[in-house]
Amino acid sequence: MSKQYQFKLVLLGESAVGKSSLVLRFVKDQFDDYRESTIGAAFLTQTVNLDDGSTVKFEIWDTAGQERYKSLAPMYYRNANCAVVVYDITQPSSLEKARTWIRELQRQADPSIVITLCGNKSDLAARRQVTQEEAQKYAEEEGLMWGETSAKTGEGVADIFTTLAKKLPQTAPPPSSRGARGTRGGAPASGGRAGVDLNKSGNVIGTGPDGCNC
Amino acid sequence: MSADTEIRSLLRPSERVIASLRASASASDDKSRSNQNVNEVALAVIAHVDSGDRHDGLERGSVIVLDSVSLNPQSVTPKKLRIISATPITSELTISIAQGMTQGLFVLTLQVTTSSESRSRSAHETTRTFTTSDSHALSEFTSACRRFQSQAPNEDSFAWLASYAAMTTATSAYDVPPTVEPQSRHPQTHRTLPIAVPVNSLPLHECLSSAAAGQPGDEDKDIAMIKEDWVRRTLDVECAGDKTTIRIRIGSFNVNGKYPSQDLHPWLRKPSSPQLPNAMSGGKETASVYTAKIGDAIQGEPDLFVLGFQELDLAPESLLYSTSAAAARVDAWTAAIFAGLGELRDEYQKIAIHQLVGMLIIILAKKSIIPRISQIRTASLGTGLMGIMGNKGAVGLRLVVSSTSLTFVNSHLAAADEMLARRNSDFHDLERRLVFPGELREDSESHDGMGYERSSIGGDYDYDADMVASGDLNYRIDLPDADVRALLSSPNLHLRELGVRDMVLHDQLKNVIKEGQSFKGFLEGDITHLPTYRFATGLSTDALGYDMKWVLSRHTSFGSSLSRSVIRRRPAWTDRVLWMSRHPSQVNILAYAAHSEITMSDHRPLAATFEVKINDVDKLKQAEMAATLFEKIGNIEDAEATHKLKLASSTIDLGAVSFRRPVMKQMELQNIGKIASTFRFVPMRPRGPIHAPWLSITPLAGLILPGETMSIIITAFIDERTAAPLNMNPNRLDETLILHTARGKDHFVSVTGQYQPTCFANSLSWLVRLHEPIRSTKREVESHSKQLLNAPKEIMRLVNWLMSHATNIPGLFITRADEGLVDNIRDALDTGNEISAEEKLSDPHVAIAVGETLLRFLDSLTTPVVPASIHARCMEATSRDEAFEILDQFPEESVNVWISITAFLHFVLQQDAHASKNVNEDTDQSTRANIIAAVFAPILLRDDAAKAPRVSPLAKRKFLLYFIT
Repeated sequence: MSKQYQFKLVLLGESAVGKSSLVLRFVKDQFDDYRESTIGAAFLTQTVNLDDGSTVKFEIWDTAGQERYKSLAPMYYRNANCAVVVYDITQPSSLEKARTWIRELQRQADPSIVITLCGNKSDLAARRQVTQEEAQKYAEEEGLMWGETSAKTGEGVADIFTTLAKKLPQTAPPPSSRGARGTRGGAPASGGRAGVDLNKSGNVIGTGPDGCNC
Repeated sequence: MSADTEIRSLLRPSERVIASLRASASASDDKSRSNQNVNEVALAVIAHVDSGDRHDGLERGSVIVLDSVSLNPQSVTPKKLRIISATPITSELTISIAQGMTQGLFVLTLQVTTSSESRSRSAHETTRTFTTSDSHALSEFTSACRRFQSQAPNEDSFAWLASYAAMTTATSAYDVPPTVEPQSRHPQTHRTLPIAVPVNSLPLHECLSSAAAGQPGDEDKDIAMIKEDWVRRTLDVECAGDKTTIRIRIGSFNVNGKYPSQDLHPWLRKPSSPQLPNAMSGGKETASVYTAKIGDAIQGEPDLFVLGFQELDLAPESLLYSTSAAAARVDAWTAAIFAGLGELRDEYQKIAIHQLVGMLIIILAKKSIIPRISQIRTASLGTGLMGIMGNKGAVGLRLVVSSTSLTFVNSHLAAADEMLARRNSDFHDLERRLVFPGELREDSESHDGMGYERSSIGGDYDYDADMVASGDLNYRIDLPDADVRALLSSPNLHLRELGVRDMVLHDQLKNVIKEGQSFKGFLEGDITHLPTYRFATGLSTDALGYDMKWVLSRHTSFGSSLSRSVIRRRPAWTDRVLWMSRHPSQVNILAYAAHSEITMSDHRPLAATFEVKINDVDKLKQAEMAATLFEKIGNIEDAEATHKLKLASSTIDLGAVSFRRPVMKQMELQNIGKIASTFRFVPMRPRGPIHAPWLSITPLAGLILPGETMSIIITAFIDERTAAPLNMNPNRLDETLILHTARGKDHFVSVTGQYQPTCFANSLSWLVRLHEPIRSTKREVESHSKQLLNAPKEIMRLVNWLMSHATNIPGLFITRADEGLVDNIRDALDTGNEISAEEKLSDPHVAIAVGETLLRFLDSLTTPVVPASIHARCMEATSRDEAFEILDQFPEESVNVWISITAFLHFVLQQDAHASKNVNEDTDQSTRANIIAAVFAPILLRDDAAKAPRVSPLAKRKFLLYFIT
């Protein structure tokens, strides 16, 4: 029997590591060489179909990486089921920043949050400054998932999100029995208590195809 | 076992019994009446206490009906109660009480109207009637019901009733499905407007759903509202009709059951009346103002007279049925009105009248305007005895002039001082339940003959609408009786004006409006007239004619007396005229006054004259245009559409921002998507502020068509209220605004600027650390400096300047100062520049501005010179010596300020005394001193808004007088 899941995902990481490009590749399979810096938080959705027939819908908040907006980040990772923390393999400082984000998430986000560490710009391997071993070791120590991607070529992008999609239904708390799902209608990420609870519990939102028209 | 105990035994622990009532049930509308089908039942109001998952803290109420059954038909007793129905108390439940056929018997009718969707025309109604002779229990029962109704619960709050519904018998004619789909009404809520009036003066963004960064809120609802707002605004511009101005005279008069025995001319025609018919010593100025305004009034005769009466008939039987005597009273007052119009009487015609018991509203229209008037409708609602009787409540008339809808509501709210909460709840009752026929309300689809047609697109955007709420609202003044009388009794005009100002600060209605407890969004003209209540004749009156009698407190509940006490009804502005408009700038109040010549009642009549802009729009064209506009917007709600708004810049630099000098910046927001998009600014956290209090954003929400650009105006303005926190942590202004695109991105906008600190809105304890002018102060240095000044140098500079140049300036501290001069003087204090140029030293305008600056400076202090904590002690002083002793308890930094200022005032008053010895002036020296004390006392001994009780304004003046005379 196929199931549908819905999870809130937040992207975090230093400015210019390629968070928005990663999302653009994932959601629209596009790449833009001259992307403007994100000043704000963009909201996108993408659905991943798994082999067992179930689908996972991600509600993605792509946040601004700039330091001056750091105080706003908690508003976006609040109630997130998963976080993708991105660094740039050519910038060691960006991994440091990623560690800071991960520490903050471990301290302040929902305790059940699933975190993936993502080394972007793998197409620039010639200028690599962060080794795969270093990042992988850190991820293992902290119990994170890890992968490298290139938003430019598309390499590894689908893997990162698919792996998350597979892992989430296993780790997320069992679907809540609250009858709130009917209230969501066609409103992605609608606020209010029902929406928040739903996000928090990583609900199963339907049991058949088109069970949800979100 | 008492009934209550027995009922309680049937309830779960999460419910409790609020009120219960024994009654006989009779089936109302079937043929079984003849069958003697009357059985004894118990009714109870039960309350459910929510456990946890709802956080609004409100209790939900339900009416349950129980009957008695014998477990064993053979035995006579005991019978057991069982629940036969359970009904949620919502706005769908109508409770009414009538006098029964038999003396002492009351008929209680409970009516439930269910219409879960506005689409379903066939509203389902269930009615049950009961009779009882227990008026006391009945009163408690109905008041409990009304309390729950006033809390306006959501329909989804009654899941807890399900278990009781399951207990009820299926045969009951009366059970209502206790669970209601949570979303059934949701999208329509914003169209339910106050007092069923198509006026909603709340700004758009206050009507939107609660949203925050990362939490977009209810986007469907928000988009719908922003769309509608956009269409309305666009119609205002694109489809503007001819605008004309009409004049409306609103009157309110509680006639205390009297017949007209005096000429009503002053009430109907005069802009104001002399305030003191007996003591006219301050009357010189009054008279001149008065004649100037008279001229004005004669130029413009009102196009409409809207006259509201209360207590037309006090006879008890008038509550129950209309008497011929009541009709005679209406005729008598109508005749008196026409008589009062004098030579104008033939120009007017009575066009509408509506009465409920003692409340009457009459509209007279000038004959020339009558052809423009249409769609007159009436409404009334009783909120009096037992919550429904017409001794209190409201009557309303609504009419359309050209295409502008005007609503007039004449109310009479609960009386007595201590009934403040009841007055507020009366208002909320009116707000919800006073419905004009033809309104689009989910629960009433009825249209009467004159019911107006709404545009098929829905909403009421095509109306320019204004509303006036007047009447005996019965709000009082929260000051002791002796204070009110003393503040009013001064024969000096200035002093009395200051007294009125002090009293207005303590007026209950002004305060509940400010706090949003009732009449939210309503405006009122400045009160400059004396209280309109309660006058008496004979011996037990004060000099102004206000009643001095001691009476038993009326604070009793129906049938039983609570703590009765002896009180005096102190004067109050019970009678008021308030208004609300969709376009507040189109309503202009010209006069607002009480008319003390008319003395036949214990109230004085009140009148207000307005100028109202009337729109004349082609409705058909407007509806067509609205349809076109909605079409043009397209389907924003489409979940698949992508919304792209682009900000020209994500940073706004305000540059240098000074106190009270506005800085405006513009930001361009462009729709680069393919579909119309809506946006709104959201706070960082739910229910938090959208922006710093010193910023304003116009608009806070809006709609942009594809390809179009909108300019959003950001204004920084730092005033006394907002400067204090900035002074604490000065220099850098740094804010992040969050602009949310519906179904899209949150944009962040950084607003930065350099704050130029001011000496205003600081604390004395901080100012005495500053040796240099505040603009040249390095904060870090000063905060460590140990050497404190005796008093803030700014105060010393102002006082010294006044001492040298302004000891003999008439009007100092009284005459209004030139704002530009005040700004310059404040800058001089902040920068250390000279207060005034050499050649201006003798200019009295400069002196008056320096005086004004001193007052405003003192008023802006974050803690008053005399902190509120020692006010009570100051009031204990009964002699000059005692007053001076209290100085020991002042904070160190306050003592010198107090001494400098009072010494200066003392000196000025001495000078005055010498000067006026030779000249016979109007105002004697003690009056001068009293005026100065009345100006300074509320500032030097400012109340702490957060802390009660507040000290009497008179006692403050008295304390200050010990120092300055």
